[in-house]
Amino acid sequence: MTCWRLLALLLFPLLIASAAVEMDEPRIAGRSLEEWVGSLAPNAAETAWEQIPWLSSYNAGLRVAGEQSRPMLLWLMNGHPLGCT
Amino acid sequence: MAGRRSVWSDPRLAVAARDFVAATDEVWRLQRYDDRECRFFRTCVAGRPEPVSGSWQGIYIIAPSGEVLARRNSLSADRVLELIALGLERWRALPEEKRQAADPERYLPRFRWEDSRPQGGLILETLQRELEGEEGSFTVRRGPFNRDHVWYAKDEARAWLPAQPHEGQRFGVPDRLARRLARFHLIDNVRGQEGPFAPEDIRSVEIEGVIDHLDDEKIRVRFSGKTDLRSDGVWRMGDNEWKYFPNRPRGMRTEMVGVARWNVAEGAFDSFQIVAIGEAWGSSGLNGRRAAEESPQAVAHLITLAPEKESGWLPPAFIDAYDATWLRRPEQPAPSVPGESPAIDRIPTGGAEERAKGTPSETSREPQGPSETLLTAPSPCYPPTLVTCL
Repeated sequence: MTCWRLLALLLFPLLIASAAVEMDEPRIAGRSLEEWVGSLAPNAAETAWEQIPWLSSYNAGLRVAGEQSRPMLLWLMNGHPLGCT
Repeated sequence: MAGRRSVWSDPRLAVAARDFVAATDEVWRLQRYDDRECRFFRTCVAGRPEPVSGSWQGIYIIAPSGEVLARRNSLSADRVLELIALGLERWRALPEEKRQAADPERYLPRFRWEDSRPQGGLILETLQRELEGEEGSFTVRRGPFNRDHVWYAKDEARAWLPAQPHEGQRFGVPDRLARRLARFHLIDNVRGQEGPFAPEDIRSVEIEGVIDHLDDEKIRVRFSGKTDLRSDGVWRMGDNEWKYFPNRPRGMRTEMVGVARWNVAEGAFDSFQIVAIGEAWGSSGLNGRRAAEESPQAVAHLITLAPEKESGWLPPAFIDAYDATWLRRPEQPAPSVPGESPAIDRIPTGGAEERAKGTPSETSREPQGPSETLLTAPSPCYPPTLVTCL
């Protein structure tokens, strides 16, 4: 009985470690998911253009320009400038 | 895409833009669709409501009446600042009667894809970048990147989990969900907008999940998967606006991992992250890799919840080709424009090698070099916008 208790005490940390491995952050191509997310996300310099409060449509720009009696600065591209372009 | 860096990241432009209502839009639709908003735009720019070919990409200064005060297409911040100064000068010189707002009844759209944004659904943002180095030691190239959105309706969002989840459970993500992600979003658009893959292009798409943790408040799931899609360059997706793309042999292979958390009380994901690493090869002529035989490029895709802001509300680029029955679609498909022929009518009779050669200017959707032409005088709106514009 003592032997069983001793064995259980020895194996318990291994079981915990095994469970911990199972719960580890997923990895791909040599890095953790968290590392990939951090390195792929745009940095401040890459999102500086979004400091301008762009509306996302011609009609919204016209409507707000009319409401505020201001001219509209309209940026048009093949593919939406705020999305896939 | 380059304009984001070369023009709009310039702090002088951020200051100059304060004098205006800043807006953006997709010009392909404005030039071609038979919608009230598009017809009004064309009338104000060209004096007639008929669809036009070519590309009117660029920066416009527009009065609330719709009158175009100045416009230019440039990747130079200095040139755009000149345009803004000219437009502002012309705006300030306008008499009061010409500053009146256009009647919204004349320009509000009958249809926009944004109206189909799935309430309570899963809205994801994708971001693509190129990788450098060897597999296992890749570094992220801090150059061009692109982004898009992925839409799943509410029931489709829930289908990313098994019906009766329990801890440790392994399951396959339903094919229709995994295939949408692969066909329309795991594509090579890092350097420019790229076309989607057809169902026939799928060699394999498998995404598996495992329930990591489950309690009364949340369900945590881990994803892993592989995709392999290859197009022979023949257009097979029928009548939508992507038929105008120059289609050539190309492909994308990825492996992915991810973690997501389902909020039980809200019935929605409150966290979602997938990273797919792979290689892209070939070209459609729009992704900066013109030759089909060009060596594969390592790419990474980051897929996360879309931000709750204006840019996060945009529809997926390939929404009109989506395989979703819940979408509200326009009454008329993408119109044909004289002088433009869709790719479906231009399938070469030669082999893959001949198709791969193509020509850079075979479609008006081809990225066009910035025109430095500056409109030197205001462009008046013609009838029926005569009353409000002149």
